[in-house]
Amino acid sequence: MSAPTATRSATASAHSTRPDARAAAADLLRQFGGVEPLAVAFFCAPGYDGVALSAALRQAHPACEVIGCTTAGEFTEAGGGHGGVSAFAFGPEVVARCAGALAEFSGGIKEGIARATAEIGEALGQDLRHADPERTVGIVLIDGLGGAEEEANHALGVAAPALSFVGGSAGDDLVLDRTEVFYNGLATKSGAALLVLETTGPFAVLKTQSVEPTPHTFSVTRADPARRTVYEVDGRPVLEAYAEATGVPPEAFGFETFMRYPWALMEGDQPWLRSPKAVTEDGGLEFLCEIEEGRRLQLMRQAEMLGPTRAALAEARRQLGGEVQGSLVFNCVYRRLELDALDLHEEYLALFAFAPMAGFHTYGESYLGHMNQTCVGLLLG
Amino acid sequence: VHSLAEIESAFRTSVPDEALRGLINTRVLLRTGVNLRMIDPQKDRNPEVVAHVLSTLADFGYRLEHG
Repeated sequence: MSAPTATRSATASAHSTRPDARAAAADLLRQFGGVEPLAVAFFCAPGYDGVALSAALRQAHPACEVIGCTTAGEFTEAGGGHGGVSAFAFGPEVVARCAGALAEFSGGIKEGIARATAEIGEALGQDLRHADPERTVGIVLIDGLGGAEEEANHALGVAAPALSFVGGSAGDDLVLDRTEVFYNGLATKSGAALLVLETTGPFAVLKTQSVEPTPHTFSVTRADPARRTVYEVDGRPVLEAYAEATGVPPEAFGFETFMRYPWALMEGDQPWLRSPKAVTEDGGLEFLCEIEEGRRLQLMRQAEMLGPTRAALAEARRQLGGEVQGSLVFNCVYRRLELDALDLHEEYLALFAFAPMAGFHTYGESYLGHMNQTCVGLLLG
Repeated sequence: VHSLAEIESAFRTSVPDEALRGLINTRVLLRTGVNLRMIDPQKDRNPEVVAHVLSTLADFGYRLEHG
């Protein structure tokens, strides 16, 4: 697939469906054209040998930092699907310096993130706590099945409270068996790949979701946050309250209801979405995000996706004075399923066609915290 | 500092940069459920909630006095 590059070849996007990792890497590198990347982010179907893929990309550009992860579908501004690999190259016109690291969670999430961010700070010669938030931004790819996203995002805030880390949780094409993240030829199934960029120009963070508020709010009165499960709201069984508010009987609860009626932690009129995942055997509602007792959440209703995405992109581009060199996009797999159902992938990806873009369909999105059913992204000016 | 309103005031003094304060406020909201820019009167003087917000801000390097 050929992909356009921005003026000055500051960035490039690429997509390959070649099944062999080395052949796919060669295909991606060919599509990068004249860009000499300082960093590459790649997003591959779970069948790929991501270690070989990242090693091959790095072999071609030994000074380049390479991060990646498995997906529930991958795309560029020119198209997408699942079963292939998409990639994004950051050239020196947009990135002055960068450093990455693999955070292993086997010895603790907080400890893994602390070690990785310290390594990055050392490589950049600067404590990330003191980095310029106007010119420094992070990318975070977290394994999508370990339930570590809340702690990982909090630990990133501890290490670098003023910096934005944008990213997503790795997927495995909805098999829910194994996800991986990669950094410079290394891999982990329990951890995160981090990349910190010092940009040459401004950047904007995209966050968009397609929901509208309902009049229903819930105060969580019994929950098991470690299992991401809510049992009671306002002193009532959660299934009863959710059924009453949605008009869907509990026996009919399933993916369609959960996608149609997510919950939101509200920040003024800004929703941070928490999507239900399943009804538990002990009568709880399991979510894709941790929800603690005492939280007040609003029930949302799914709405049309293209309009809000277009508006959010327009606002991000406005912040950058209209000139965008490229973007990375992390799009919830729930949104992918909606695009599948409505056959809207082409129209959706066309919204990003103003500059090279690469991204993937995620098992959760990261920006200051962990969320669901959202599209987050990084636009480089 | 005994209330969320007092935390907000002390935090505002400690971090005059509005953009940075907004970003940290969002981190606090996502961690604790408390929106310091729109304080729920029912939670304002809840000691458990106040302690959670103070410890979260301390995690981020902002240590406000706990009375």
